[in-house]
Amino acid sequence: MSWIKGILFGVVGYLAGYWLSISLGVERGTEAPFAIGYVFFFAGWLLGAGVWDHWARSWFGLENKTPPTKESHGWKRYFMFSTDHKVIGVQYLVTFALIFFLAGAFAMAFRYELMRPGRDWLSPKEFNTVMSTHGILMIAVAVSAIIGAFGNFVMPIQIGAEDMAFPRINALSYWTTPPVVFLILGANLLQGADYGFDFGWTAYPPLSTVAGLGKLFFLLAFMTLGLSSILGALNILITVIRLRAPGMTWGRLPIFTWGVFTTSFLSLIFTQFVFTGLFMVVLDRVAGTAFFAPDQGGGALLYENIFWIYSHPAVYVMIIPGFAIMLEILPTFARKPLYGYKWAIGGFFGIVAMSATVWAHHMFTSGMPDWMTVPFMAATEFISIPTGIIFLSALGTIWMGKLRLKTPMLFALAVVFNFLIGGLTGIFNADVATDLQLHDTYWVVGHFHYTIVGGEIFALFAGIYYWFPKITGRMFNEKLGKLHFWWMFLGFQAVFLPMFWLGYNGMNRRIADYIPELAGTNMWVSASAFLLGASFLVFIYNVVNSWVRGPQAANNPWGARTLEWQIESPPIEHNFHQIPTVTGHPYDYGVEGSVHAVLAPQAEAAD
Amino acid sequence: MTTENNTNLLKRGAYVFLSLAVLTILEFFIATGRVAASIPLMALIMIGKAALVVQYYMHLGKTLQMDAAEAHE
Amino acid sequence: MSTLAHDSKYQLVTRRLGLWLFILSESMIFIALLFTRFLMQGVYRPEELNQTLGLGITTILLISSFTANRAEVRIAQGDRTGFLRNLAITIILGLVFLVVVVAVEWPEALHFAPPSTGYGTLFFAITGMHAFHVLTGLIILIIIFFQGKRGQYSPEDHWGAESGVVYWHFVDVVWIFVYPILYLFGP
Repeated sequence: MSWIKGILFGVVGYLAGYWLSISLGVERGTEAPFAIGYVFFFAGWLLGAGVWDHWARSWFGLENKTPPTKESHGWKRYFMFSTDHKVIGVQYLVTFALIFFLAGAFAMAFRYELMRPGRDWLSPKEFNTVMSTHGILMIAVAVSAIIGAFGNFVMPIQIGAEDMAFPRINALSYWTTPPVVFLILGANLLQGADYGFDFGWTAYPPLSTVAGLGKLFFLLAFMTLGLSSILGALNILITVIRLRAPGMTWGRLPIFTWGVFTTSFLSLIFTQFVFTGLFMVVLDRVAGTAFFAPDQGGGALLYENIFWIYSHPAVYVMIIPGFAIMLEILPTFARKPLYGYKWAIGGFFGIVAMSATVWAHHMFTSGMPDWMTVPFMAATEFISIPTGIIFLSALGTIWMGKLRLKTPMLFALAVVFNFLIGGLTGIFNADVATDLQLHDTYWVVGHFHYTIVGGEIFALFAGIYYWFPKITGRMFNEKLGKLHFWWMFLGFQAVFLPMFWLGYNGMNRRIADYIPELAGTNMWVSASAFLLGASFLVFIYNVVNSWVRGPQAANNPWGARTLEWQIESPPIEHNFHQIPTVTGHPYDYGVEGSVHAVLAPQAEAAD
Repeated sequence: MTTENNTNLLKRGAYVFLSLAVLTILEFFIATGRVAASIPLMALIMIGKAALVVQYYMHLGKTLQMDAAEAHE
Repeated sequence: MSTLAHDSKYQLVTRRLGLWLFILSESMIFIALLFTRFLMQGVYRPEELNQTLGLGITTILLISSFTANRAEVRIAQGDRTGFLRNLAITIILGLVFLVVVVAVEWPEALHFAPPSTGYGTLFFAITGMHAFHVLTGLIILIIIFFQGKRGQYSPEDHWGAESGVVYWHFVDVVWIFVYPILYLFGP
C-alpha cells in the first residue's frame, strides 16, 4: 500500500542521497549529507506513494497504469493514493486529527512538568523540545486542517464542481504532509547532543544556527509543510476561479468557499517568505553562509522580519477558515439569512490586504528602531476593523434568530465567545507600551490560544460535527456530542483564562520554571489541561462508533441550503449526477420563493 | 492560426529579443560609468525588460484576456 | 458527463492560470532574497566582481529565451523539426549558462567573496537559488525534447511544451532582476 511503499522508497532514496553527497566530497559527520539525504527521501517517498506515477511514466515512455479503481465506498481507499477530492479531504481530516491528538499529548507532558515549580521530570532542553513539538505540530494542524479537510471535501461540492482543478497536485499536497511528522518525531527520538529542537516554533537564530541534528530536522519539516500549503492554496484558488457551476456567480458563493478562497491568497504568496527564511538558516548551518552573522550585515532581526512577514499572515490563514465555518453554520441553525454577507466577504479581503502590514508587532522588544513601532501598532489595531465586521456579521445572524442548539451550532457559538476574549486581549499585545511588559509571558500564550484554539479549533470541531453526516453517511450521537462540547468548552476556559493572570504576574513562556508564588494557579491550569485532554476521548469514541454503526443520516439533516446538502450522503464519485444550475443566494433562509440551486432529477440522470 | 500569423509571431519574438539586447547593453554601460551611473535608471530598465518578457514571451496578457473573455460568454 | 470543465480549450486556460499562480508564488522566494540583499549590504558590490562575465552569461540566457520562444511558435505551426532544433539550442545554451556559473564564476567568487562574508552569502545564495531553477527548467526542457521527438505535441495541443517554455522564460525574468541587482548596482 502507498504508505509502506512510500516509506520503503523514501529510505532507499535517503541512503542514495547520503551516499551521493559523501561520494561528491561532502564531509562525513556534518549536517549536509542529512539535508541532501532528506531531499532524496522526500522524492522517494512521493514516488513510492504513487504521486509521480502519472507524470513520470509518460516521460519515460512507459504505458500508464490504469488508475486505481475509484470505488466510492470501502475504507481501503483512504490508505491509498487517490485523486478523488473527497478521499483526500478525509485523508487530511484523519491525519490532522491524529496530529492534533499527538500534539495535545505533548502539551500534557509539559503541563505535568509545570504542575509544580522546580524540576520534575524534564530537563530544560527536553522541556523546550516537548513544548516546541507541541507548538509546531499544532501550527501544522491550524494551517492545514480546515483547508485540507473541508477545503477539499466540501468546497468543490459547494461550488458545484466534480473535483478540484488539479487532482494530482491535490494528492501531492496531501502526501507531502506525512514526512513533516516523520521529521518532527525523528528529532524527538534523537539521542545526546543532536536531540531535539529547543527554539519554539519560531526557530530564531542564533539559537537555530548552532549544532544539533534535531534542529535541522525541524527546519526541513517546516519547509516541507510550507510546500504542501502552497500547492493546496494554488489548487483551491484555481478551482474556485474556474470550476464554479453555471449560475454560481461570485455574489452567490457560499461563505465557507469565500473563506478558503481568500485564505489561499495568503498561503500562496506569503508561505514562500518563511520558506526562504528557513532556507537561509539551513544554508547557514550546512553551507557556511553568513545570513545571520551580525557582523556581516544580517543578523537575527533579518530573520525575524522574514519570518513574521509569513507568520503573521499565517494566523489569518488559521482564523479566516474558522470564521468561514462559523458563518456557514450560524445561518443554518438560526434559520436566518447570513447578516451582511457582502460585508463579511469585504472583511475577509480587508484582512488579506492588511495582513502584510502588521508583522513587526511581534518584534517590539527585539530592538527595532523606535520610529517603526507606532505605524505597526496602528496597522495592527486597524486590522481589527475588518475582523470586527466579520464578528458583527455573526452577531447579526444570531440576533433574533430561532436558534437550534445542536452540537455544530454550540461549537460555532463558542467560536464567537472565545474569539471575543481572544480579540480583546490582543489589543494589549498590539499596544507598544503594554506589549513591552506582556511580551513572551503567558498572557500571550493565553491570547493566541483563545484566538487559534478558541477560534479555529472550535470551528474545526464545529465543521467536523456539521459535515460528519455528509462525509460518512451516518449520524453521530447528539448527546455525546453535546457532552463533548460542554466538557471541552469549560475545560478550555479553565485552562486558558488563568493564563492571562499568570502572564500578568510575570510567568514567562517557553521556560520550564516559574516563581513559587504562581504554584497554586499552575496546579489548577495543569489539572484543567488534563481534564480538557480527556474530553477528546468522548469525541473519539463518538466519532469512531458512529462512523462504524451510527444510524443512517438523511441527505440534509440540518435543513441547509448549500449544494453539498442537496446530494447523497456520502456523495457519489464526481458528486453530482448532472452539474447543477445555481439560481439564487445560498443563505436565504425564510425568504419566500428563493431557490439556491436546481439539480437535475436524479432518476432521469441515472441512465 | 494561420501560417502568416505565426511568421508575425516569429518576427515579434525577434524584435522583443533585440529590444532586450539593447536594454541589457545600455544597463551595462550605465553600470560601468560610460553613461551617467544611476540606480533608479537601471531599476527602470530592469522592470521594462521583465515586462517585455512577461507580456510577449510568457503571454500573461493573452492568458488573462482569454479568462475574461470566457467569463462573459 | 460532459461539462465545461472537460472542454480542452477551457482546461488549457485553467492550466495556464495555474502555472501563473505557481510563478507568482515562486517569485516571492526571489523577492525575499533580493530584498535581503539590500537589507544586508545596501548596494555594496566588491570591486573584483567580473561584470563582463556577468554580461556574457546574461546574453546566453537571453538568447536561450529567444530560441525558446521560437520553439513554441514552431510547434504551434506544426513544424516539428524547427521546434526540436530551437529547443535543442535552448537546452545547450542553458547548459552553458549553468556550467559557466558553477564552474567559472563560483570558483572565482570564492576568492574575493567567500560565503562567510555578507556579499558572498548573498551572491552564492541568490545565484545558487537561480541555478537550481535553471536546473529544474533544463530537466523539464529535456523531457519535453524527448517527448517531442517521440511525436508528442500538436499545433492544437502542446500544453506540455508551452508550460516548459513559460517556466524557462520565468527563469530568464528572474535573472533580469538578479543580474543588475547583484552585478551592476553599486555605490
